[in-house]
This record gives sequence, structure tokens and C-alpha cells, in this order.
Amino acid sequence: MPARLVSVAATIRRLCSRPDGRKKKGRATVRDTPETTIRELVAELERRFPYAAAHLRRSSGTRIEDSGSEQHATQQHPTQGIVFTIYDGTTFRDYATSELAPDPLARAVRQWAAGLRPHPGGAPVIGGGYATIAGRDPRIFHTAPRLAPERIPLAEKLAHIRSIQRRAKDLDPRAVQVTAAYGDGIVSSLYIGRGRHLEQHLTRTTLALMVVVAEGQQVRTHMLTRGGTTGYEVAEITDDEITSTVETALRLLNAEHIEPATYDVITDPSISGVIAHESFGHGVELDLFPKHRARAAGYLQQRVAAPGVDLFDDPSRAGAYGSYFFDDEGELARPTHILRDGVFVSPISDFASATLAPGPHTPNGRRQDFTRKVYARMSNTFFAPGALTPEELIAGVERGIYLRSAESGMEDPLGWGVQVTAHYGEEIINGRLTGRLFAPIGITGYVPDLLRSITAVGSDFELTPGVCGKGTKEMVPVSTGGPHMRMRARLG
Amino acid sequence: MANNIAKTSALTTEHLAAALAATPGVSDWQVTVLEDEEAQQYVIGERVEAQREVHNERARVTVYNRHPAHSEMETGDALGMAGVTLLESDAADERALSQKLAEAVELASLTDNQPYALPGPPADGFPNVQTADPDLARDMTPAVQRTMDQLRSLLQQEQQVELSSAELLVTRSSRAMRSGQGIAAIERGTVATLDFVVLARDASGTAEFHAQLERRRLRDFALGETVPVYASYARHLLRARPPQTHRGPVILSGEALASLFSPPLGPSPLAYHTSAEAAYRGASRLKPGDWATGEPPRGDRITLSSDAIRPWGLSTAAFDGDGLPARLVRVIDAGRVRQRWATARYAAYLGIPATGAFANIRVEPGTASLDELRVTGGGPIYEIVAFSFMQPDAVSGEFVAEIRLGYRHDARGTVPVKGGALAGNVFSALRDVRLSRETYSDGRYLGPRAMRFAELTIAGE
Repeated sequence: MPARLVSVAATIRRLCSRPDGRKKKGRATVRDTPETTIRELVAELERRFPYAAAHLRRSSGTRIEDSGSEQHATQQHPTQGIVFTIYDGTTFRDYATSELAPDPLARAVRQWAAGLRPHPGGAPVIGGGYATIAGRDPRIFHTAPRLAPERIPLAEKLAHIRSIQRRAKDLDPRAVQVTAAYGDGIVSSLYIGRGRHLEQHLTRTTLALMVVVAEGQQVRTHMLTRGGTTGYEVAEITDDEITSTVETALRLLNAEHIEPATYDVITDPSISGVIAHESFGHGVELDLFPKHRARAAGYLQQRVAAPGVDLFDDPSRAGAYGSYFFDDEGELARPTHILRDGVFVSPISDFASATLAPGPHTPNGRRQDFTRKVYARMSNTFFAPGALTPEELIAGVERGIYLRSAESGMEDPLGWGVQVTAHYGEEIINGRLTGRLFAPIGITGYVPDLLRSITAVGSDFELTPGVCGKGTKEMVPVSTGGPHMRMRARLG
Repeated sequence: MANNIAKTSALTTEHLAAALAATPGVSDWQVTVLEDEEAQQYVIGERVEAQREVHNERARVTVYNRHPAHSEMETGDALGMAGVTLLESDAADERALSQKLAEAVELASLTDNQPYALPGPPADGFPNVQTADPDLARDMTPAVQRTMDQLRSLLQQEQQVELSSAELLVTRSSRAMRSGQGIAAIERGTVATLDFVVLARDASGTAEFHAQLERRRLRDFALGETVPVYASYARHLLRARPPQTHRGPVILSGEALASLFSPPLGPSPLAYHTSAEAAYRGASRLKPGDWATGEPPRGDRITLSSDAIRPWGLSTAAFDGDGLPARLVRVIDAGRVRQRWATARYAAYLGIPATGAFANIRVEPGTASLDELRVTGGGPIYEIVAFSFMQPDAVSGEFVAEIRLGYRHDARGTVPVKGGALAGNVFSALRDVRLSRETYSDGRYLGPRAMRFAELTIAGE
């Protein structure tokens, strides 16, 4: 998962979304789509094949960036496209296009489908067990941010982002480059299939403050990032947060390389989250099971982590960056309990992997955009909180490292290796932080060793926004997180 | 593959240029119309899991607006720019198109930047570059099938291994550009992405090697050569053990080396610090004439170029995003920064020649053979051939990456290793390095097959 998962996470906000249940009125996003044509085409395909569905998605938004000497305000590249999917009895087949005019679309889909034939004898489709919506009327969901981005004038956004940039830049002359960036976007999608007609509108916002400091030949960076399925409120930032970001960058000018060894470590929520994501997130994607690429396949109902460790994937988490109401295959969002008290209890899946593996169908069928295939993908992946405060966790370490600010991670679902890069770490001696910093720090090891070494779980909880790929492609928005945790890890 | 979308006329550079000419407040503009046709196949073992056909068409428009500066930091005129992506439905509806362009102008009018001029057509025209695979000129599905069949066949000839899964995505694209400065050009290209996993099994268990290849042409996958290598990697992983903690010589070879110079996300530290953009923003630690490594190197001296004309390179393009013609730009010569590479904007800001965006990376080879680099001289040498994920920090040059597969060479022979992490800093690592004379190329990197760094740190057991 090459993911830029950085520093301070958004506070989990109150429920900011609601299923509507009524016909939509006047929304611009999916309003003009040829829904009747799409329904007719899906119905035609359903008569010939065991499974047929259509998924339409539109996304648009604005991005603002201010580096002091330059200002950018651009529309985020909108995408618009529709995917028709059929299962012919052995193979899933997609036709995807950016063309949405009803007549050309219908011609193209019918021409594509004319070349397809059912091939009975393969795995029977599963995953219909959660079908709760039927009929012609769409069920509509939308996030309800406290401050709807579209209601904030662009000039006000530009002025606010410039103010953040200047407040940070003016703090220290060694801050040679400070960039503040804000983005908002709406992703609207429509799913028709399996008796379901669903529509959702997700607002996602992000704020980033990137600081480059230099002294002599030494150059360091630090970044604050927050984001969620929230509104313009994401751009609210305090002077303390700005100061802390700059001061951390300056402290990193004196950071050392860590002596490679195995250490007692305290992970901050961003590091805990990437460990969750890379270990029993990617490692339990059901589409890997029939490929014989997931060692976890042989560990269902077995202990893989220390007692007291619980791990979830939950796309229904209100306000989190990876949240949605239904996945790209019309499966309604709900949490999946992956590790219960240290025992592996459930993979995550998409419709195809649930059919072909087979296995439980969870709401994790996601695609990067209409040009790409659906896979089993994470949404918001996190360890559940425990009982001790972060201060108590640190106090329990005689000699170790407090790992901060996850930068990236990479999965190894068959070998069960894990790679997480921390932007920096701080030395702990006799339960106290010494102020001595090391950067960057690589955390590597064998997943079960790492998870079984967990000796304490914090009572706090934070989620960090990021993007996740399958390998180095297929990027989707996610969040990762959890509490502070205490474990042993090999650092270098 | 079906190619059955009736071509419409609304999403063309001519149509959008006419609309821009009629939009008040546009002081300059650029339009790029992109059209992609894709064929994708996904297999699990012998079975086709999924098959996809994709058609995607959109236009990217950048509008520029000159206006009195809003900010007290600016004096005189400021230039604002805004990007907007238009879809067929936007372009087909004149009223909607006018509104989108007016919104873009408004967006541009709110931002203040130092003015600069976009380039016009080059006097000698754009170079002819090779970017489109003739094997993908027509129906792409048979070519996809042939490649998948070849992959399976080659793996069947290998001992102890099997195909776990494979994904092949081929894209045929056209990119048409038109600008307010008179550029009108079109370029066609292809890209093929092959992602496959080789499983090796023995009594001790199962191991995998995950290959991710991206090339302009299917033939450049060179499956006859690469598949046996990846099969051997998978077999070696069956008996690979974590490395010992090590501070000393480390060889990076093949794709592991390429990822240090051409990381998967974002620029390499050397490309970043030699850019006009970093210099303009005050974040570059290098200037022309400086040692790229900050001090005189003790080993081989790096010569590094941005190569936009390399045949079949993934970043090869007749023109960059500004409309500057493709060229080979030597950025670092014998260890010293020779010149900054600069897009039109930052070239104007710094008053230096515009070279175009950084393209394929090219590093000149050295004189030592691979065997010479592997001479142990007493202590062990680690050679890393694959990382889990190598992404050096572009600003600091620091890197740390898990070793997916490597080898420990010492007096007793060679054993495979995996796990642990390699850590270092690109700038300090290059101060004492030897380059192989054998070369390696992938989609974006062309250079030595291996480099031996005198001292790097491996965090192992």
C-alpha cells in the first residue's frame, strides 16, 4: 500500500450522513444520467446472465494550493463513466465507457453483449443475502457536512489557505518552503442490479500543510494532513497545530539514523493504523485467497495476534475518509470484525471473490474509477481502543522508541512480511521521552511476531486519511488508525 | 475488442478552441483532448477471472487570466490559471460549455502568480518519437491473449513454479494539444501493464514473487528473458532468510536500482533538487556547478539525463504538458550539476532555458563488470534485487525500504535473503559508488544494471 498516510488525523466527527429514502430533488450530480436506459439494459442482461449490474460514478471538486510565491486553484479532474458487468457463469465481464448519452450507450452495450454467451458450470453467484432494497425508486444517501464546501466562496477559501501558509511561513526563517493545500470533492454514484437501485453523494475534504526546513545542507520536511467525508470544517486549524507542524520539522533537522535493532515501541495511531492495514487488511482481501496469495486463508478462527487485539474494517464509520454508504457493487456499508480478541474471524470481499473463493460477502468491492476493475478493498481499517492512556503506555517502556507519523507501508500477504515507514521516532528512556529524534524509521518484521508482541492497547482513537493501492496501482481513498499501542518491532 | 462508440465532434481541440476564443477574460489557454481505448484481462491460474473493455474520452483545459494583483505581496499584473476537465456531455452542450469556461476564468481571476508566457510552436517542429506499439494498432484482444498464453507457456517450462494470477492492461491513446500560442499537435501512444505473481512450492512451503511491468510495447516485456528470472526469484524466496544487520557495501541491481532513481510515486531526490521549480521555491540544495552529492565523490561520478526521446520510453513524448518539444537534457555531468531542468513556467521565473518536464531517467553506465562489483574482499556484500516499496524522500533524500529479495555474497558463496530494511540517503550514498558497465532498462530507467554503494545500512537480525 504505497500510501501517504501522514501525521495528525481528523477527530472522529459526529454522524454526518443520512440515508434519505426519497426521490432526489434537484441534485446536479447524477440528475442527467440516462437512468431509464441503464435500467433497461441491466434488465436485458439479467435475462441472459446469472448476474448483471451497472455502476455509474461521477466525481468533481476543487483543489487550492498556496506556496506563498504561487497560488493554484483548479478543478480536480472530474471523471464520469459507467460500467456494465455481467457474470457469464465462469467469468466476470465489464464494459466501461465515459459515453453516457442514452442512444450511443445503449448501442455500445448491446453490441458488446451480443458477443457474450452464458457459460454455465462455474461457481454460482453469492452475495445476495444482504439484498434489502427492491423496486424502481432509488434509495439515496448523502453526507451532510457541517459546512458544505460549495457554499463557501472560492475567494474565502483562497484567503484562508493563504492565511495558513503565511502563519506557518512566518514562524521561522528556516522554513524555506511552506505549502498549504485544500481540496474538496463530491463523488456521486449509482448502482442498479440485484434488485437494488442505490444512489449516493459523498463529500470528501482534505487539508494539508507541508513544511520544508533547511539549515546548511540539511533539509527536512514535516506535514499535517487531515481529511474525511466531511465539509469545509476540515480547514479549521489552530495556531498550535501550525506551530507544532513547523516545530517538528525544525526538530527533525537534528534527527539521527537509528541503530538497527529490535526495540520496545509505542506506535501512534497513524502507525498502528498502517500496521493494521498492511497486516490483516491487505492480508485478508478475499480475492487473494483463490490465487493462493494469502497466508491468512489457513488461519481462519486461529489466533494471530495477542489477546485483546480487535481489528475492524468499517466503511460506515461516520466522517472517516474511506467511508461510503454502499460499495461499487451495491453492498450496503457495515463493519467487518476481522480480528476478535486476537483471532482471525473474517476476510473482506467483493462480489466476484465472494462468488469465486467462495466466502462471506462484505461491503468492500471498490474500484479506482470506472476504467478499473473492482477488487476487495479496505475502507477504514483500525484497531479498536483499549484501556490505557498514551502517557501510561509510554511510562511502561524502560528503553524504546515512540514511533510517529506513518509515511507509507507495503503488504506481503503470502510471506507475511510487513513494511511500515515512520516519518520519525523519539527515544524513550525510563518511561520518558528524551527529545532525541530518529528519521526516517523503517519497521519490518513477520506479521504474527509483530501482532503477538502487542502488550498494551491505548484508550485513544484517531483515523488518518490516505490512499491505498493494490501493489502500486488501483488507488482508492481510505483511512487507517486506532489507538496508541505497545509492541516490539525491528527498526532500521 | 469492440470499438463501437460513434465518434462525436464536440470534444475536439478545434471546438474547444473556438469556445475559448469566445470566452471573455481568457488571456491565454491550452487544450488537450485525451482518448483511450483499453483491453484488460485478469486470470487466476488457468482461468480467466475477468475481461474488460474501456473507452474513455476527456479534455483538459487550462485558462490563463491576467489581472491586477489582489495580494499586497504582488505588484503590477498577476497571472491566474485554472484547470478544468471537460467531458463529452460538457462539450456537446454549448451553454454548459460556456458556463464551465466562464467558471474557470473566474477561478483563474482569483489567483495571483508571477506572469509568464506559454511557448509557441517550435521552429523545427516536434521530433518524431516512438510511442505506439504497432501490435496494438488494431483489435487489442488477440494481442492480450497471445501475451497471456506466452506467459503461461513460459512458466510451465519452469520447475517448481506456477502462475498464481496475472493482469494485463493495454491502452491505446491519442493526445491532441492546441494552445493559444499556435501549437496544434497530436500524438498517439500505447501502454501495456503486466502484473503477475509467480508461486513457488516445495516441502517447506510456498513463496511468491510479484512482478509489475509497464512498457510501451508488448514485446518489451521480453517474457522469454524475464519470466525465467522471476521464476528463479520465486524459488529463491522459498529458502530466503532475513539478512543480518549490516553496515557496509551493498549492491542494488535491476529493478531495485531503478526504483531508487525512478521511484513509483513522485520525483527522485536528484530530479527534485535539480529542478527549476525547487530552486524557485527556495527548496533546492543544488545549483549548477555543485557536486550533486554535496561534496566530491570518492567513487564513480554520476552522469544523469532526462530523456524525452528515448524510443519506447514510458515518459517519451513529442511534447510536454506546456507544448515544449522533446529532447535529451543532461542534468548532472560527471558528478556535477550541469543545468536545471525547467518547465516553461519555472524557466521564465528563473530566466533560464526551458528544457521541458523531466521525462525518462538515463544514467550513463560505469566501467566495472557485475562480477567485479560482487567481489567480497573478505566481508559480506548484500545484493538487493527487489524492494517491497522504495520511495526515497524527494526533499531529504532519506530512504528506508524492506528487502523483498536479495542475496548475501561472501567467501562461502551466495544465499538468498528477504526481510529487514535497507536505509540510507541518496546523496550521501552516491558519494562512494561504483557503476556497472552492463545496463538495464525498464519503462522509465535506462542505466547501469547494478551499483555498488560503499556503505549502506541493513536492519536485519
